[in-house]
Amino acid sequence: MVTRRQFVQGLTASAALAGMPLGAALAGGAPQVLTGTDFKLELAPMPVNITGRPRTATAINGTIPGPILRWREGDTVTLAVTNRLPFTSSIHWHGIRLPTGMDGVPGLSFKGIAAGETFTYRFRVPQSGTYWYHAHGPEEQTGVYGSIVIDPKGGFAQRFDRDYVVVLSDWSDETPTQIISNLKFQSDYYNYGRRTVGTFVDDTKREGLGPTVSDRLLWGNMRMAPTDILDVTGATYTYLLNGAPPAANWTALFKPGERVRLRFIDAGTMSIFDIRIPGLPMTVIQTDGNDIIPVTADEFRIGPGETYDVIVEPRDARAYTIFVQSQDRSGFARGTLAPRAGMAAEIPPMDPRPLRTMADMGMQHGPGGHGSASTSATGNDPHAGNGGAAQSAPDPHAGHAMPGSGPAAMTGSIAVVGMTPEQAAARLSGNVAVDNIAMAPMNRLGEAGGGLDGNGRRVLRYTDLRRPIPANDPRPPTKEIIVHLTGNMERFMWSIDGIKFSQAAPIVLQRNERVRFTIINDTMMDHPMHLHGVWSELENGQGEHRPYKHTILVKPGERLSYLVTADEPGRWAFHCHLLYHMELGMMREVRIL
Amino acid sequence: MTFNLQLLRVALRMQPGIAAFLVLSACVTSDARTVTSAAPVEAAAAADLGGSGRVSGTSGMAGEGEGYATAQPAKAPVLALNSSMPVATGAMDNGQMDHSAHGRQQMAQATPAAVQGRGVVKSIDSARRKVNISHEAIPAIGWPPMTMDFDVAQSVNLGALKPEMDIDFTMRQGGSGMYVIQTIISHGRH
Repeated sequence: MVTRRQFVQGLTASAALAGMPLGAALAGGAPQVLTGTDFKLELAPMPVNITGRPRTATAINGTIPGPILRWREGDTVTLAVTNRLPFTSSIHWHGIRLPTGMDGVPGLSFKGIAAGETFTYRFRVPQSGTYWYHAHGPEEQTGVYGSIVIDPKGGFAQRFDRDYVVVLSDWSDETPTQIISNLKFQSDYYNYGRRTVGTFVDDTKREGLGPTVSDRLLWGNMRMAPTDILDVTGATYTYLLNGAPPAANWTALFKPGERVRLRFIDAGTMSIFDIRIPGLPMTVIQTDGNDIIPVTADEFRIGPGETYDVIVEPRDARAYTIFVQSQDRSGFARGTLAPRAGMAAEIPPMDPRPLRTMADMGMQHGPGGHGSASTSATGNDPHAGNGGAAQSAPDPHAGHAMPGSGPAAMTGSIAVVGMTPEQAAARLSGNVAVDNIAMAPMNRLGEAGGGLDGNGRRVLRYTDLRRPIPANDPRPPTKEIIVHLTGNMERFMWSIDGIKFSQAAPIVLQRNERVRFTIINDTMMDHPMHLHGVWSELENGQGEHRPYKHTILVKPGERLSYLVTADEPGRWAFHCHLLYHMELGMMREVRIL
Repeated sequence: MTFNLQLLRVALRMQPGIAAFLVLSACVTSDARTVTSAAPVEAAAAADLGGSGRVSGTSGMAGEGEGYATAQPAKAPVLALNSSMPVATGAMDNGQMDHSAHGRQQMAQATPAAVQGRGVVKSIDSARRKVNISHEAIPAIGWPPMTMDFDVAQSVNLGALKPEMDIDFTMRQGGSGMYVIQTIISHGRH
C-alpha cells in the first residue's frame, strides 16, 4: 500500500545515474534517434530508479521514452517489434493513417504480440508532422511510449533553427494494477485537495454559513468532490519531461535569436498538462501533426494523446523554464531552454487548484439560481458564442433521435443515431454506471478550460485552431452519431452511453461515408477522445479551415462535434485516452465496412 | 514478493494485460534484462533534430499534416506563414470573430492586428527581403488597389515565391508604421 506523500520531484540526473549502474538511459541519458525506413524495436523490462526506490519499468530499446523515430512523408516504413515482456503487448502508431491491421490494438487490429514474438509492421506514410507511438495497454504507464517526427515532402511552412521533441509523461512507483485497485476502493484515493472541515470553516468566513452549507449539501447529494480534477495525481505520480523528473532538469540548447521548435507530446496516461515558458511567448504552429495558422500564446493545455508544436525565439542569453503543471496542480514536469548546459531559471509557483463548477456538470448554476436544467440545450447564447459552430452544430431539438444502435431517423438529409440529453436522462437514470446526465451541455470550445480562464495569460483555445488549407473532403455529413461520455465517479466506472466496451456493439460506418460525431460529456472530468484510423475535423467555427485532429479534449458538461470521412475500412478503436478510463470501458469499436 | 489477495482478485476481474502486471512485478528481480543504451549517457541531454532547411521547400506544397504533398490547384497550398496575430478579414467566418473577441482584444494590446490582402506577385528581391505585389483593395485599412513593394518578415520563405503567383497575404504594422508581410499563401494558380 502506498503511503500518502507529497509530490516527488525525482532524483537529479546524477543521482539517478548513480543509482543505475546498469546504464539505463532513463532520466537524463541522450535519447536514441532512429532514422530511415527499417526499424527494430524491442520491448523489455528495465530496472529504473526515478524517486529513490528501485522499480521495474517497461522500456523500448532500453530507453524511456523510446527512440525518436524519424520518417519521411511518402516513405514505406518497416518496423519489427519484438516483445520481451512476460505478457502480450503491442505498439500503436498514434495518429498515423494506415491499414487497420497495422494499427496495433490487440483484439481489434490483430491479436497482439505474444511474449517472445516479433511482429513486423509495414505501411506507407501519407502524412507529416509530430506523432507518437505507445503500447495499447497498461504497460504504457510504465514506459512503452516514444515520439515520431515525419519530415514533410514539400518543405516546412515555418522556418526554424533547432528542433526538439518534448515528451511529457507520468511515472508511478505503484503498478497500474495497484493504481486501479486503489481507485476502485476509493475513487478520490489520490485527491487530498478534498474540502475538509478546515476549508468549511474558511468558506463560512468568506461566504457566510448559509451559502456554504447549501453548497456543500448540493455537492454531497451529488456524491462528488468538487476538487476531483484528475483521478491519479502527484500523490503517486512523478511527472517526466523526456523521461527526466523535474530535479534532473532536461535542457535544450539555443543561441539567442534562434527560432527553436518544440514538439510537445502528452504521453501521460492520466495527466492533462498546462504548459508555459515564463518570459517567452510561444507561437503555436501545429496540433496533432497538422499545421495551423500560427497563434501566439503564453500557455496551452494538452490532453493525453494530443500534440502541439510551438516555435519560441529566446533573445536573451539566459535560461528559461519549460513549466508543465498537471491540470489539478498536484505536481509538475520541468525542463529548461538555455544557451549552455547546467543553467536553470526560476521555477514558478503552481497556480491555485481549480474547482469544478455547475457548468462542468452540464447544469446552469449561475448566481441567479440553482441549476434549473433549462431546456435550452446549447446552454450559452449562440450570438455570444461560436457562431460558426452553432451554425454547423445541429439543433438538438431538430431530430427525434433514435436511441442506441436502433434505426436512424432522417431529419432533412442527415440521419441521427444516439440520444438527446432528454432521452439520455430517461434511459440512463437509475443505471448504476451513470451518475450524471448533462441536461444543458454547452459549447465550451472558446474556453481555455478549468483553472485557466481569467488567469491573466493568453491561453490557447480550440477556437484558435485554423488549418491553412481547406478540408480535404468538402462533403457535408449525411449521418450524425451522438455519443454520451458517462461514468460513476464514486465507483470509478467509465463508459459510453452507459455501456462499457466489453458489452457494447460497434459503431458501424459505411465506407467513405461522411459522418458528424457529436460528443456530450455527461461526466465532471475532461476526456481526451481519440479516434483511430481517420481524422477528426473539429467543428470549431473555422468553417472549411477547421483543424484536423486525432485526439480531442472534451470538457466537463461540454457538447462538441467533429466531422469524419470514413475512408479507411477496418476495425478501429474510439476511446478516452486516459488509460484507466479506457481500461474500465470508456471505449468503442468503430467498424468501417 | 508477497501478494495482497484482495488486490489479486481485483486484478483478475480486469483485462489480462493488467493482471499480467502482477506477473511482471513478481519477476522483477529474476527476469529483468539489462539493456545498455547505444548513446553515451549524459545528464539530461537533448537531441536537436536540426533546422527547417533540412527539407528544401517546394512551391505550393510546404506544410505538415495530411493533404500538403499532393498539389491540388483547387486548394490553397501554404508557402510560408508566420502570422502570430489575428487576421482582420471578412473571409473568416463570423463565429470566429464573435467568439474570440475577448481573447483577441487581450492580444491586440500587445501588438497591432494583422491585415489581410490579396494580389499577384510581380517581383521578388530576396537580398533586400522585399516583394512587389499588385494587390486588390484592402478595405480594412482603406487602401485602394495598387502595385507596391512590401517588406517581408524573416520567417517567410521567399524562395517559394514566383512572379505572377496569386497570393493571399497578411501584414502588420512594424515599429516605423510600415506594414510588413507576415504570411503568404499561394492559390496554386500561376
